[in-house]
Parts: sequence; C-alpha cells; structure tokens
Amino acid sequence: MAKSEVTSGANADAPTVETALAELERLVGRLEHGEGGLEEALDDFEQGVHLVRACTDMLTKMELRVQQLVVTEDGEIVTEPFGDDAGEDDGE
Amino acid sequence: MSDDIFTVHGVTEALSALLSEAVPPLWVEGEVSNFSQSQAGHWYFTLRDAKAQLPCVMWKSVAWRFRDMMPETGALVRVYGALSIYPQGGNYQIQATRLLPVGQGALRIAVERLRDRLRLDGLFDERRKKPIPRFPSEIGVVTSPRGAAVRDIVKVLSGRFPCARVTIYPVVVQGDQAPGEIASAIDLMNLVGEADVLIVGRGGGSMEDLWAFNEEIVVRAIATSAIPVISAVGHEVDFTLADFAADVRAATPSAAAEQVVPDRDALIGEMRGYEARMRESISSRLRFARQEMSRLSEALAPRRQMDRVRQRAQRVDELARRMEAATRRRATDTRTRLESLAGSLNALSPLATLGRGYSICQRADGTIVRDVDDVESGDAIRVRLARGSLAAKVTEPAEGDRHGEV
Repeated sequence: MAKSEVTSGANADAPTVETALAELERLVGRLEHGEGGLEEALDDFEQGVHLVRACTDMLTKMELRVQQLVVTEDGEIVTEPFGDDAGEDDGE
Repeated sequence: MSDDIFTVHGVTEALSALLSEAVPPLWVEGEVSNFSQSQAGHWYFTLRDAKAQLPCVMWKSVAWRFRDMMPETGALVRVYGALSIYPQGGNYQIQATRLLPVGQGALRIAVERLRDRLRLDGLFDERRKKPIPRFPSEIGVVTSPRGAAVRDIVKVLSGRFPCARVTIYPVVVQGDQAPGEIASAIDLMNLVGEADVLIVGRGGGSMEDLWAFNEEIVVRAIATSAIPVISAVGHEVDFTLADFAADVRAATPSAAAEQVVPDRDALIGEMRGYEARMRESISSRLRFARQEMSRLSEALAPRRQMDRVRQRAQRVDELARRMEAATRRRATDTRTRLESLAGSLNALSPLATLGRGYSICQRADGTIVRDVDDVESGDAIRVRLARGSLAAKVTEPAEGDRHGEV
C-alpha cells in the first residue's frame, strides 16, 4: 500500500498550536515563579509574546487543507485534493 | 425439427446461466412462511404475497450474521440476493445474502437484539473508550463525498480550527455496499492513514437509511479501531449502534466537527491570557528590581561611583530597548509604564559596585543583611558577587566584626 502522496502539508518548523500552548504555559510558569535573572525573564517574555503573535497569526490566516483518499486501479492508495465541486446534496 | 436433444441438467444449466445474466441480485419484499433452520444451520423459508410465492435459502455463513433478525412466520421482510435454479427440485429460488425486517417496530427489535449481543461481547465497554486528542493534526472523515455531512464538517472545521488537515475517505453510506465500505474504510484508515481521530457518519435519514450504522461489521470496525472514533449519524434524535461503539457520540456531523477540535477564538483568548500573565509578571519583576536596586545603591554606591554605574548601565539600556520592542504593539499606557521602569533600572544599577569587589549578603527570604542582628548562627545566607553567588551558612555572628564561612 503506497501512501507516497500523503505528504505533510505543514511547515515542519512552524510551531503547532499545541506545542506553542505548552511552551507558553512553561514560560508563564517560569516568569510567575521568578525563575532566572531579569535578563532571562525578558528572554522568556519576548519569546512568549512572539509565540502568541505567531499562533494568533496562524489561527487567523491558515486555511483548512482537505484531501481525499482514493484507491487506484492498481490498488494503491493515493490522496487527491478534495474540492467543492461535489454534486448535489443527496441527503447522505 | 430441432437437431439438439438437451439433457435435463443441460436445460437447467442453460436456464441458470440465462437467469443470472438477465436478473442481477435484487431486493424482494414479502411475508415469511415455512421458516426452518436445517441441522447445518441454513435457513429455508418462503416469501409470499397475495399472488405468488418465492422460495428463499440463506446459507449458514450468511444466516449467522443475521441471527438477530431470524424471521418468524408472518413477518414482513426484505431479502436481497440472486435468483437461481435449484436443479434437483426443478424450481427457482432466491439465495439471500441480506435480510431486513420491514417496519419500525421490527427494525427496532432487531437492533435491540444485536445491541444486547454486542454489549455482552464488551464492544460498548467504557473501558474501551479512547480519549480524543485536543489538537488533532489530521482528522479522518469516513462518509459520502457528496453528502451534506462532509460539507458541514469541512465548514465547521474551517471556521473553528484550520490548523488540522482533513482526509476524507469516500464511501457510500446507504445501500448494500455501505456496511462493507464503511468498515473497510475504518480498517484502512487504521492501516495506512495518519489521522489521529476519525469522524464516521452521515446526515439524517430514515431508520432504513441509517441502517448501515447498525450493522455488526460497522459497529465492530468502530469498536476495534485503534484511532479514536467520533460517530456522527443523522440528527440529534437518531441513535445507532455505531454511537454505542464510538469513543464519542456526536449528535450531528456539525457537532462532531465542533467536538473534534478546539475553537479558534477560545484559543486566541487563552493565549492572550498567557500574554497578560507574562506582562503582569515582568512588570512586577521590574518593580521589584527597582526597589531592590534603590536599597542596594543606598547601601553600597558612594556618590563618586555613579559615573561608573552609568557606564555599566548600557546593558540595562539594551534590556529596556528589547522590552520596548517586544511590547511596541501594545497599549501606550503599558509601554509608558515599562519604559519608566526601565529608566529606573538604568539609574540605579548596582552592577558596577559589585564589580569592585563588594558583595551583597541576603537571607533565605531575599532580604539584605545589613546588621549582625539580622542573622543567627546556623542561618543559610546567599552572598551575591559581581559574577555568580555563593550559598553560605553563618557560623559566628559577632558585633563590630564580620564572620561568615562559605
């Protein structure tokens, strides 16, 4: 079964919302517990503000990627983009 | 006259071939009579209406799957199968591969029987239920590619949490092929897909329309899926056995999409909350630093050292600039406050004084030790140097003199 077409669409370097939230929680924890020196605190703060902006941007600008699995005549499973060109509502 | 003399079985075979070619498998509705189950487990019965009757056979391998709906004489049923000739009897019959009771009451009884049996098998156990990940990166959807369900799901996901990828596995959701297709789609998603949650369902319809989601093969595929499954069949009032087996039952396809991902606006709110807390923390850190430095400079910095303090203030300047950059887009009042705090830092830096060899002795709670009476023998203290600090313990406080041991 091939799924070579199943590529990862997301930029691998971009933080996911999940990791960003975990990181924010960590940074807030460090800041609120007064860990590190003032300079480190500012590092944490900057990093946190950056994360909030990056994630807010991502959540605001990203578009959902929709694909469908299709079994070819050779029995391979590939993905194709899923469009809005689907037919009439047949109630299903 | 005809040259060819047929054998009896030759005629029968020819007729058989003709029949299977001309009449594809079909659904027949009728009343059950003469139902019997053979020793081997095959079912034999006759379907009839006012004008005709049609013998039916359902082989054991198939009948076993329909044991929850074993028909009684007089029951109205629909049977699906191919017409064939029974050579030994010289009659025709339908070889049933599917069976559906007709009527809401009969359907309901069949579903309840199957539900009880699957429950005994443990398919609906709460222990089997898997949690739905909070941030799925790929959502698999097993449904019709042309239905309202898929459109509703895509629409809700787009508005709510566009960071996920949606992979649709197109299947038919009603009719003879539906149960098999839905079940293999779930299996295949488990085998090759990258989805970390599945939505399985369809839009609303009659009980017959939703029937595939009451089929054992579908219920079992859902129950045994390693990927968590959200069932989304029909409307709020529709309940199918798929709902019992799923890890989460959503009332509608739209509701499934809402349950499978977090809400964008709520997430942004959550992040803004974190940002506010960070801002609050850093502000109070700066306030605290200003107070501390005020004390330190009073205690340690002779007026003539202020020039050197100013030279070293470049570092603090840099911090202030960075902070300003980080908060530039924020409300002006916040920025002004931070800037004024940074200005205070600038003026009061004790770094220069420490650089000359002075050190600051603090108690465990951070207060600065100025007087021998501030500590007692055995107290833990911290000695801050220009670079780093030392943990120390007081061994011998003495008036007019200072003793500490590192």
